[in-house]
Amino acid sequence: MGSERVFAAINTKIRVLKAKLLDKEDYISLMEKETIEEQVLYLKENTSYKEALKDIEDLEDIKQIEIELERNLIHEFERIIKYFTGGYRDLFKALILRYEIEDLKLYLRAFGRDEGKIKTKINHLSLLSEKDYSFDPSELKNASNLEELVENLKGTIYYNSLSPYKKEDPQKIIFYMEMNLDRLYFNLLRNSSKNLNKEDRLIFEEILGRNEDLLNIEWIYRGLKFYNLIPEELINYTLPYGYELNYKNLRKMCYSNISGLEEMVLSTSYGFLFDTEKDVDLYMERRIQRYIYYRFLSAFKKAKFDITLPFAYFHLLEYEIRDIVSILEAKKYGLKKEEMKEYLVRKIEGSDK
Amino acid sequence: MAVEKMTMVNVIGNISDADNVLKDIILSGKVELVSALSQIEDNSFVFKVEDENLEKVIDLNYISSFQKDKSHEGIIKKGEELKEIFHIESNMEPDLKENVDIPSISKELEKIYNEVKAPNEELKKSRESLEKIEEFYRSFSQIKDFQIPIEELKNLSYFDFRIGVLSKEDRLKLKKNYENILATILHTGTSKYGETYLVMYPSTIREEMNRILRSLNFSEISIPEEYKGTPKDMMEVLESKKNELIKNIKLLEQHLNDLENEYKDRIVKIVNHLNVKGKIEDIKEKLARSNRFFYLSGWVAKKDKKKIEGILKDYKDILIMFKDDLDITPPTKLRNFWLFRPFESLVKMYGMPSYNELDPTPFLSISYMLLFGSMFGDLGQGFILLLGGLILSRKNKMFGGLLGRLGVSSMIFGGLYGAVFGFEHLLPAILIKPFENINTVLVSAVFIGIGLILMAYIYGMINSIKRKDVEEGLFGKEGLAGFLFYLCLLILVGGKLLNKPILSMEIGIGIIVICILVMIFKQPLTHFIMNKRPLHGEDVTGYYIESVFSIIETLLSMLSGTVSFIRVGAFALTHVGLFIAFETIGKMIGTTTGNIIVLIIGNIVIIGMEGLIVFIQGLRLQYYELFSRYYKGEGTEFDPVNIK
Repeated sequence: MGSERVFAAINTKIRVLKAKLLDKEDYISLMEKETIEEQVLYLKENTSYKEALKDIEDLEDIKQIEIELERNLIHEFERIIKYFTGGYRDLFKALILRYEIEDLKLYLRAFGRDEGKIKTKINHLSLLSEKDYSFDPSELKNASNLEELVENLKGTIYYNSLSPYKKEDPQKIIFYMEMNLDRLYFNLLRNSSKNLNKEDRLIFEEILGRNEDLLNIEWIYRGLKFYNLIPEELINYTLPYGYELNYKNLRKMCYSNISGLEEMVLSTSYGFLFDTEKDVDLYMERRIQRYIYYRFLSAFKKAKFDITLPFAYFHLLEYEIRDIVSILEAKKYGLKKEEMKEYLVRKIEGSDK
Repeated sequence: MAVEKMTMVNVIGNISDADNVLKDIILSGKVELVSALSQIEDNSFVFKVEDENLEKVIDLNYISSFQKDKSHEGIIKKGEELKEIFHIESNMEPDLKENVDIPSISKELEKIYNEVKAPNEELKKSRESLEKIEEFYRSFSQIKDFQIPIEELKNLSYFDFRIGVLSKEDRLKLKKNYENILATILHTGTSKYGETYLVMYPSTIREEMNRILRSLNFSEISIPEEYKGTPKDMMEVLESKKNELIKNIKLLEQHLNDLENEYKDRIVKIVNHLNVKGKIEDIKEKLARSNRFFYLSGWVAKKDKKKIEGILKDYKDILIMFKDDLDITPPTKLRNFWLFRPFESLVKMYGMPSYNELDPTPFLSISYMLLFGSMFGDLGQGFILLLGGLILSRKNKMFGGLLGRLGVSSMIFGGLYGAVFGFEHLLPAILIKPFENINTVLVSAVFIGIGLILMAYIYGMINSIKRKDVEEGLFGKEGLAGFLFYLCLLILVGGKLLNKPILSMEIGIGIIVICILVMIFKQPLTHFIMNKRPLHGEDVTGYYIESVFSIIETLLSMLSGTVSFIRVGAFALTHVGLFIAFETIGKMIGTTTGNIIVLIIGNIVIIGMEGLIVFIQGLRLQYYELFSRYYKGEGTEFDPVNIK
């Protein structure tokens, strides 16, 4: 069987890596620390992030800590990629593109806001190292307006998604550009999953599809509630390859209102989004992430020789970073331990479902 | 000697001569440059202080590296751009001998560039606008039945219209949701970016429509102000514009073509010169300089000393010194008799010999030819290999030469075995018919192996002497102790088998026990002799456990290594056996043509497949049974500077 050959080594490796993630005690100790400094010192001394955080000098610079943690994640990614070949390697490379896209969005946003100042700030915010970009970041930094920036992307996969907007007012258009980049990313993932084994492809399509479902619901919900978007716009920006919700379902949601949407969602397996006493809006994103987090956590228990494990690991790592940053931020704003828990992806000591 | 003796050459000369000296050295192809700065820092850059040299010595205190001259990188870029415009791909061999004036050829290239750039830009622009016009033309031809002038469309009070391109995915989205969109959407054509559409909608929903189209990634084609009239009128205007543009493009192409013919060769030449200059600049980073002098260090073979001196002596004020005894190990340059030369590639595949190691190439060549020939002895098939080698050597000299030599060896053994293209009965055997003397063949294979292994021991001991390695050379398992151990073992076993004791059992076992003890205690023994204390390294128990186990391993590898050579005999037999199989199939077919075809296929299979197997097995014996006993291969290859 080919799958043993592909996954035997990698899954063992992934299990070791997973064991290095923080455990419950770590989270509790982190939350109980008095200051951000103590929290960061705890991370530096007691966790596997020792190496990643070794250059951090300002212990209260949460942004920089987040970036170092994410760089660490990308580094792990690149290490794992080496174990794959062919279609699998392409898929994981496409997954990494997400970070390139995040960086690209940073540049775009710089034009959406005040131009000059932010661009110098971006310098140390980039996640990848210079040579890993498919575009030339220094040229993007030097672009004096949006059109120039987009023209610099000529020849990359991003150009066609961005070029229709290049002549418009940055402040209005950045939103559309970001939406287009996200759509491009999901389409790339879908395309690069085509070369996997059939089994793995199905697994991946479900993971991706459920992710798209949730993002679509969130998007339609927010579009209806906050952004006042017209239904055609809503439907055009939905992601196309959902797992449970097809185009017709989505269109119905788009042409409905908030209560109609809630009703429709409650009848799907994503009902947990609205089936709650607590604030829907505030915790929506966290609910989505918690749903995915626990799906992957349970996937770890039924280990088979397929693509689930490496994929699950990176999501767990990603949510761990998110939780760490949430805890740091919460400390900054003086939240109590009980309040902090509400914002974490994982459940700790009986926090809300 | 097969490893060339090297010496360090240090050159000091006037800074103005630096480029030319470097060029001469590159042309000679005999010097491997090393960083002059680090040589100077290590105080290896030593020369006699005499009055005439005084300045050069003083300047050693103000030394720096060459700053890379990047001034002509811009012009090289322009040159490459020119090559692209004219689709020049050919790269002529750079000619180092010709002296060129870089500034003047740079200027010349600049001139050509300026002359070409303008028409080329214009051509590009014309082509782009032609494309645009064609796109409009297609769009309007779709609606040519419209009897309404475009300006009237533009001036409509209650309706807006737009033309633009949609991608396939977005088109589908539009289609699925068409019933909800208050606009007519006409497909008007296909362009290289996607499908073109004309969208018309009431002005009251302009804002919504804008948002919808934006969400569909609609990239609009804006219609220039000067386009007026009905679509049909406009098509006529466009048609004439198109023709004009095409005419213009033709003219420009002609002009560029003329320019190309005029300058092509010159451009290639200049770009080559500039590239050479660039490479020389790269190489220059290995040199050091003061304000007045340049300093160069490099390895050169001793026999090339005179040549280098001859090349450089004409420069004014130049100082050339050679220095033999250095702390650093020189790179290895192999020099072998022509018969052995192709086998160097097999040695390099394993590792380059160190400078103070014996070059294993001659031993490997002879033994490898012997092994291959005896496994694959056939006059006819060997001849095919020889032919193949001769043909191949035009493309790949190393491998072709190797194959040819193996072919010859195969032919010689073919003669000894009396085999031609597999047939054993056409010729009488000069030496032996393997298939009729199976035991003799197998036993003699083992004897060949023993001979080779003994040779390997001797090589190993010589290498230890050259490395001045007492521990391995005297007491190691590949050294004298191991050698005696192996020899005694052979004599005892041999005596037993032949029932003619050559050495009395007691003495033999005595020697073997002494050898084993010596091998176990090799480290303390060495330290004792060399007067080094403490006798052991840090981990005493670890050392003894390791050395006891390594004795077991040595014993096993001696036995298996020796027996391993049986394969040589076995393959000699397989070679015949395989052919007998084909012969039998041939006979079973019954017809003469069938028989001949099968025999031809058989020969092809044997040459291709068995030839490859024997090649690999021979290499295996070399690498595992022999190299592991005497050869380390940790050297670096001599790599003379060049500009390739």
